[in-house]
Amino acid sequence: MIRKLSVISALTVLLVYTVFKMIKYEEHIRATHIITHVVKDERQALLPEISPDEFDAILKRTRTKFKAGKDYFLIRNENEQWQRFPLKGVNMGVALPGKFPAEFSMTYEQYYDWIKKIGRMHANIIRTYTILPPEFYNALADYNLRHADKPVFLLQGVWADIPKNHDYHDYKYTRNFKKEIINVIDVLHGNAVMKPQPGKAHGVYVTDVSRYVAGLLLGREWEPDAVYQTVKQNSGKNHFNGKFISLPHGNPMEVWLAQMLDFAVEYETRTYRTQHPVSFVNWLPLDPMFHDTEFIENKKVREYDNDLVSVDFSRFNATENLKAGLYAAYHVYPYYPDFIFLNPKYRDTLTGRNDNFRLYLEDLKAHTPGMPLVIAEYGLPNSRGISHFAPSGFHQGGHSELQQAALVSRLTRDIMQTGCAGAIYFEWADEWFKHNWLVMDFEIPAENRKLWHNKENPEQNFGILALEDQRKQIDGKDNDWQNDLPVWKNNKAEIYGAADATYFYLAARMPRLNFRQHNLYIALDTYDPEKGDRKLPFSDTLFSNGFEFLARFLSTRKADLLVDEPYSVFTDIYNDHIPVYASQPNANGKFIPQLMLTNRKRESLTGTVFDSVVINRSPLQFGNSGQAGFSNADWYWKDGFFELRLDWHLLNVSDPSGRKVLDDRPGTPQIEIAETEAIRVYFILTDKNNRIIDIYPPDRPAPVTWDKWTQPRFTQRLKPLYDTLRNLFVRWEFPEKSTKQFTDQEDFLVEITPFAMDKNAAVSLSFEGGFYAQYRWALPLLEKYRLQAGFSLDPLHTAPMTEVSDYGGLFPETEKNGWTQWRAIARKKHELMLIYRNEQSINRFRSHLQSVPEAIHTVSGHKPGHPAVFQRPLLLENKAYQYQGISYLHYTPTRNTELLDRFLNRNQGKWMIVVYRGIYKDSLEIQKFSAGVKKKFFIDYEQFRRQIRLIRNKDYWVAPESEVYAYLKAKKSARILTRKAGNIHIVHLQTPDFHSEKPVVLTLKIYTKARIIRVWGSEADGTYQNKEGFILVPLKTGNTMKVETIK
Amino acid sequence: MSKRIVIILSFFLLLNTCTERKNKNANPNGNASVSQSMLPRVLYITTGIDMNKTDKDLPSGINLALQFFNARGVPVYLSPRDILYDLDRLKTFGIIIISTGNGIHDADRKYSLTYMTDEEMQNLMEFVGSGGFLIAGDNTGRNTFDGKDRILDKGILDRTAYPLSELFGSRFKELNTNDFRVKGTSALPVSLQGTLTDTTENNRWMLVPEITDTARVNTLAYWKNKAQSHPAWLEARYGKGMAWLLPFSGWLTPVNDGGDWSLDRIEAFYGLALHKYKELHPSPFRLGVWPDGKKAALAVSFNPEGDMEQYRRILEALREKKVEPVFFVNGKMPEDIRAFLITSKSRLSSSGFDYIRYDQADYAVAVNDILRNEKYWNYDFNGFRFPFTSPAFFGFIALERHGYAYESGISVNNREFLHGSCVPYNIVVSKEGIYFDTHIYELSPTYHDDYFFLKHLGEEIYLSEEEQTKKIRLWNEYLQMHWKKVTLPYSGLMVYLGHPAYTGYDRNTLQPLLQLIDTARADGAWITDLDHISRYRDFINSCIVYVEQNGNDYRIRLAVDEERSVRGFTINLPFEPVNLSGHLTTPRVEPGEKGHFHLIFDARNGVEIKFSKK
Repeated sequence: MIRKLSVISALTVLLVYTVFKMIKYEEHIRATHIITHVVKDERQALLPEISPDEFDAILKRTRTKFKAGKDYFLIRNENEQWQRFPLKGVNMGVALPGKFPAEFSMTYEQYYDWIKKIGRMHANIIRTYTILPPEFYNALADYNLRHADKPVFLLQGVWADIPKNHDYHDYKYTRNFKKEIINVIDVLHGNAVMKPQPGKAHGVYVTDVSRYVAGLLLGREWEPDAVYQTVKQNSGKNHFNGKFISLPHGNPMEVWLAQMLDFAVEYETRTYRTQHPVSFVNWLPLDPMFHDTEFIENKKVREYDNDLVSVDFSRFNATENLKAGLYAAYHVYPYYPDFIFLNPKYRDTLTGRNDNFRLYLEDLKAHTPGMPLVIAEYGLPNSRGISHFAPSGFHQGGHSELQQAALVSRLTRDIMQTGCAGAIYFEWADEWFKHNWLVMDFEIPAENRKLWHNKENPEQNFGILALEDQRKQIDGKDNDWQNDLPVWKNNKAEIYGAADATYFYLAARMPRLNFRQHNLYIALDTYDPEKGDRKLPFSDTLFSNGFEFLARFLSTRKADLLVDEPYSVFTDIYNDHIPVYASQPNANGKFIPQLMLTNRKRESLTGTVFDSVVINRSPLQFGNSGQAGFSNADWYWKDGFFELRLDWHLLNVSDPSGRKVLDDRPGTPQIEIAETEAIRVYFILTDKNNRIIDIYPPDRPAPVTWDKWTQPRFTQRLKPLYDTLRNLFVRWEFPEKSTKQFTDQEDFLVEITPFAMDKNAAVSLSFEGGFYAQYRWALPLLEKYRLQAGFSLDPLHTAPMTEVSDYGGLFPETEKNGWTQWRAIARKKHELMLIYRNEQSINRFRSHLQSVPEAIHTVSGHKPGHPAVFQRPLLLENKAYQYQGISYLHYTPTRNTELLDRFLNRNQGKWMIVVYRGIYKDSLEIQKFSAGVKKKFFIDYEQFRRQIRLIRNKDYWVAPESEVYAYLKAKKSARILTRKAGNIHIVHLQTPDFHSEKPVVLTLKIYTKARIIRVWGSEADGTYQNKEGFILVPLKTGNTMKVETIK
Repeated sequence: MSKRIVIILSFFLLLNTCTERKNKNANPNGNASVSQSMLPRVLYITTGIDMNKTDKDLPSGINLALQFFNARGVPVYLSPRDILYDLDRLKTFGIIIISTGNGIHDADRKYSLTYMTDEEMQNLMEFVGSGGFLIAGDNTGRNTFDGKDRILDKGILDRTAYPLSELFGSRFKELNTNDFRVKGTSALPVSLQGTLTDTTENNRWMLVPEITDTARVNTLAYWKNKAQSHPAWLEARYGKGMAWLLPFSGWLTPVNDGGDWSLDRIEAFYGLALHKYKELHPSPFRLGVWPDGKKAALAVSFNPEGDMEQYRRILEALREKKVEPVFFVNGKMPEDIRAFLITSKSRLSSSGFDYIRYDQADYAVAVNDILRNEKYWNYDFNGFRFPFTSPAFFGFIALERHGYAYESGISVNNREFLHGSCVPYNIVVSKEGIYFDTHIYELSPTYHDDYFFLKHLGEEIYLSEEEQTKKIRLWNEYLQMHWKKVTLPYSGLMVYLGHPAYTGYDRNTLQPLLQLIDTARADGAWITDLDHISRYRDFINSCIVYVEQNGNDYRIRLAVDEERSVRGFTINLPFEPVNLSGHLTTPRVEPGEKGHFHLIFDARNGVEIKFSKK
């Protein structure tokens, strides 16, 4: 037994040893074949540090074909000279009908064909939003090799998702975005293998197209909410000094963007010794201007606050290492947000040109100095439906193809003539998967949206290249009906029906029809014969089927498609009327027009009301759809042959590919649908008095049905816009004077600006009386708009209180702050003030006053006598005052915001103190006060919040009183001492009593001819691009800064 | 050797003439259905690769001509202008291209084609008169050979001062073309209509024709401004042939290389030229570019770098695939590898002995390095690859003198930019006033090699398995792309350029090459070694194919230097031949694409094939 065990043990040991050796051998074999697998630490830097010498060596060998000049892109020509290169091109989505963009279904040949067409249009740019499949880059390289005389360049986008917590600074999110930047750059240089991932292109990218890249464009239309949250959550991040991008002062979102741009440039420079001009996507809701007509007054409005926060290109600077430069890229449409046509600035009353787009561009260009401004998206759709109405005529939709061409021509010329650096039309081809806010709820199921073409959905109809399924032309000719059998016929009439991915078609051969003598009605039962109206308005007959729609044709000028009242999808958001989108059995013969609310009612900050706009979609256009001017024509009649086409959405068909119609059920959150077998029709011929002459068919309606589909048929066709843009793009119109030139300043001149950051005026918001309502209502608003204000402590009530108390004893509006509130106010870094009525009142409250410093110390941590606590007498008159030689205007606004607006506009160049006291929400309670008291001491919250926004919108310097006072006082006495050492200027800011006074930050305006300046020792160190002939740098009194002129 | 070719070709021309007479004698009534033609060959007159430049690349204008014509079974021969004095040789070509632009290395003024003697021009006229098609650039022969401008005497160029004036049926004057554009007429294909050239400062004063013989001269494009119009692009019929005179030679050079036109337009231009030639010489047949009707060619080559195991791994894997690679060898290689390559009977080519930079070597150093390597390996090398990708003038002289047949160092990348050629071509070199054509064929390797993608293997850069796989996939994709996009469309040649140290590093790194072989085989490629390719190309470029048609009966005859012969010579027929018979060879027929058929036979001088159309 022991021997047996010994043998077994020995064999086991031998086996273990053999296995061990085999494993070792395997490892050895692997080691010789496969290089050591290093698991990368996710926290490891994506770009390792390198020495300055290495960096300089790389930089010296870095080449760039394009660079962003002052107003335009520049391209290096064969003679190594830089030439202006306006970007003329298209945005290219790649979703073919039946596909989502992320399916990347296009072939090499299809990409090549599109690029070829785009090249023939004299376009020189294709903008892509994300990495496309290798076939695209292969096609681009091949096309450009073959057409080097007129290559098509690429503006390559880097797609950005929305961060989950709306914080772009989130570590994981940022790291992933940087990885995406790396992927994009590797793809462009033909050095990437992208693994299959849902929603992303994949494949092996071995074609180096970097020579055909004009620039990189990061991100997307950043959602204002996400930007706002990022700003709010990262308040300390307000500057960035990178190797390539410098942002001496900006908001946290701008800081993040600067970091991403810097990373992109550094990666491409270090990895490929190449640079391209860089930018990020920006759009109107984040533009640097403020718009007084933009205000979300109703929470029911499902829309962004489109003027809440800014991302301002003018704060971004390219350092001397960024040879390729920075440019600005904006998406600008002439119809959205509403401020682009509501803001009086963009209404040209002088020339009557009615071109709000141009005026906006001029404003935008003025706010984007020193860098090319590329309009990276603009355009108008040729949909039948309108989803946003613009008084200038630039509606979102509702244009024929001919109108689309004419209007886009105007927009393109505007872009050229305002000195913009590029016009990139949105978009190259129609994309059926796109949704639009107005109709998206009725395209059900949403995933089938890509299977059909909704002509009521403008988003699907922007294309220059029509991707369409229109099997019948509405032209009164029966040639395209030859292969169709009539759904009904007798010796008087023949009725035909058909369907495709875009339209439901009806045709009829009715030799008798004559609109001078007849009216024609078509009653349509779209589903469920039991539902719908069994009675028609002009007849007492009760039909066996209920009808959902009634088309009436009274003449070639008067025809419409009415809907049975319960089945209308008109939704009144303001009155909470959300109908049940289903047909109801009835017999009242009431058919109504199909309405849609396209523009919501608005009220500007100063009280101007802009009414809502409701569009009637019912009128049916008579015309030959083969003519570009009638591309949206609905019907035609000629020689007894009648043709009608109705886009599916007009019939409440939610998905024609599955024969689905709206059939909502009450009480459920979603909208339900039902399947229909067929649409049943009657053609009813009446005389001009609507007396029925004939009904076809006479007994029961003729059913028109169609086959379902899972993949749509479609064809390609160039719209007239193609030739229009071709004619425009062949030669770019440069304006005579693109932008203002630098004035002839001395080489280096420094002055102190009248107000901080050279603003036109200063406003101090002062809240007096220590009301709790100020804490409750004003504080959140100030935080929202990032404004600092002053709050006066009430010596009578502050000291002993720890909680809110109603010293007035009347009602909540007179409650006063307790220490909890004061502490919160101080923590938000607002100023605490002592406002005294007069010397007598000081005496009277002496005991309280004695305790105030201690109270201040308790709530704010400030030592007694600290200058952060500002003291001044109580002022009640709206007039000019002076304090120790410093003038200011005192103003207490009433609820008339327009008066405040006038006051603010009138007093540019001055310091204005705007005082608020009581704020109330409940108008009933406040009625207890007399009108005089109300006017002087109280303002309702609704107006108050408009006024705060109005003050923010003026873009003045908004700062507490002590800050403005200190600035103006220091400015009076400060002296600037400069001396030069080589290319470094040493600037010292001296005040006579700087030893005793608290240092004050003054803004210095430095005029220089140098293009790039580096500053250190200031309050906003970094590299500055000299965009306008000067730079603005904040510097503390008593401090010295160095200003190096680099280029 | 070239003299011998000329004598033999002349002999065959004579024979051809006699045969024609015989035929005519046999048909005293002059049977109108008998027609004779020659399958087209193109002569591109150029000074070739400019060895004074750092980039030893073929001018891209020539590259495009090579690509275009090769894809259509028309060989292109490159030659310096010396050939203009040799009328008999000129007549062996169907199309002659004389480009006077700097883009095709028109060299210095002394050797420029704008300088011509009357004799040279007479020869060109005779070439056209006898049925040739001439494409001449601007100012062709404008100056006498001693540099005098022929227009200076009278301010006009007519037949008294300029023989080509008669050929083009025009006289010429100078015009300030500053605000003119050249616009193609509607007689041209769509892509050649509209503005063909915007004038620039450089082409202000131009020779502009005034047509004197309107009966035989057409204008295909005009100089136009708002007020005036002058002929610019002439098409003249002359004798049995036709000639084009272009306003710019820059048209033939792509804009990527400083020329005027896009590749598409240049191809449309050559397409029209070929169409015109076929109008003059109708023949339904086309030369097959590669033997046995193969569509393209693939060869595998390796530079020296790697260890024994890697060499062995490669050889085993390739022999399993029935592919013989060529190893370029030098005198620095380890003894064991040398012994292995010799004993394994591998195909070898030379890369010189000492791994020197030939562009810095004089003739003595170059020839010494070449011969020393031959001695060291005791091998009669047929091909050469310049180390450091530095082809050099003296190196070419030395190789030509010592009978080398090919060079394989000027890489090709015609996807991302224009560089090199996927079509083998006879090298014409120039340096400091010396211009000559060699019998060395350039067999261009791919632009990137395995080192470009897999260099981390030799640099101790540690990559994860995933990253390493990525590099291999990139290399694989590059090869596939090169094959599909650069080689196949032009019926070209792809030369794999590898190193045993990278390609043979392990089984994974071998995969891209093996996959390439599979792809090429599936695409109907001729996979062979560089020796065979150079020999075949030399035959194609030297061979004249005559076609005689009598009703539905055809006779094909070959005239070529006696020394040359190849297997699998292919002619593409648009119908299936019957009654096939051959003289000195046994032809066979294989189906091709699109209802065409390949007539395949072993070819040498004097071969004749007869067949009929059903």
